[in-house]
Amino acid sequence: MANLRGIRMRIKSVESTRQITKSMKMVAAAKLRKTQNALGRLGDFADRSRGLLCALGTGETENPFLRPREEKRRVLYVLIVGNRGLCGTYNHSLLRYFEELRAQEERESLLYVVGRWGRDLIRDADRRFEISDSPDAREAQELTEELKKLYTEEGADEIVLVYQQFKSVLQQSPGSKTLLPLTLPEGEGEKDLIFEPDEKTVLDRLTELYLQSAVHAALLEARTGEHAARMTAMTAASDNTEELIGELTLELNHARQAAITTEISEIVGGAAAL
Amino acid sequence: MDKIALHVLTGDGTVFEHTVEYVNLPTGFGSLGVKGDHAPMLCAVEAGVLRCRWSDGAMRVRIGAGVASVEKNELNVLVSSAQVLEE
Repeated sequence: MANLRGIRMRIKSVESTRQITKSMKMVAAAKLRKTQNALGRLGDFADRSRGLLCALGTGETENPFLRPREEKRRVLYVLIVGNRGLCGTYNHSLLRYFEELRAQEERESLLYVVGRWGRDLIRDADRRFEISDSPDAREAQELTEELKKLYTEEGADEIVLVYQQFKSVLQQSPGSKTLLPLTLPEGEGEKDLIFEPDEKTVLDRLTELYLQSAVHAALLEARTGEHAARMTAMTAASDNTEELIGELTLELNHARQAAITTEISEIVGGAAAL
Repeated sequence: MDKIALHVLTGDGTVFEHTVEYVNLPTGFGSLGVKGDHAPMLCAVEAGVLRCRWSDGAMRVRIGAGVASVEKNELNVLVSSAQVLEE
């Protein structure tokens, strides 16, 4: 009978695992919806600021963020990892991609990590930032200010964002995007506008807004991917537990049947002996 | 006079929108008033309070620094942060 009890206990333990994975899946789904909505709302803002920048024309500007430097000696990588694990290969594939990228880099490089995951794995981070599961404009602004300061004062000549780009709920692919210097499609340069107080101030301000929206978009995209990856991973885990419970139940029924059969044959055998 | 479609946007979405008659924007050189049929303009706005009014109401919105663009009776205020103040 010990075997029967053992199987029953295993079923119970797998059932509680199923409960955990199911609730994690539900939490991830709710967070995914939230970041996806936020990404949609940000899109409008980003489109408008980009549209205005293009309309201004950025051809001959002194703006430090728009003019590429002649010599790019030092590059800063901003690696946006997840906040937690249990999301399939989301973090690991990003790390692998980043390591390959960095191995090819010949210039001096700095590394900033955004997110809580991988404290033990990524040991050479120069700095870490914590970002919530659904980053808002304020968080994006704080990070942008840091990056701007580093670019203008402390000698990073290029800033590259490395994160999991969100293709769909089932697919995220690691990629990199140069944040600074900013590259914009050449605009028409409509000059039929009034500028208050002058064109330079407006351009500087617009660049800042655009930069902030670019950082915000990358953060949201990375988080959306993380939630999607976790949801997919937890769906698979829940399905696996269902399957395992099925197999264990079958095993339990076999064992139960065998025990009953043995008991009957013992009784029959006993009766025959009398 | 024509009315203006006012939109106040931040990275978190649209904070306030309304069809208004007059908007007062905080800028580095004092406040700037915008009415309907304004010439196309791009204006740097500073952190402060945006005021607007229409025939039977008015509203104040606290905004961060950003840019306001006026074109064809549409005023888009793109700012780093914004919050509607209770009247």
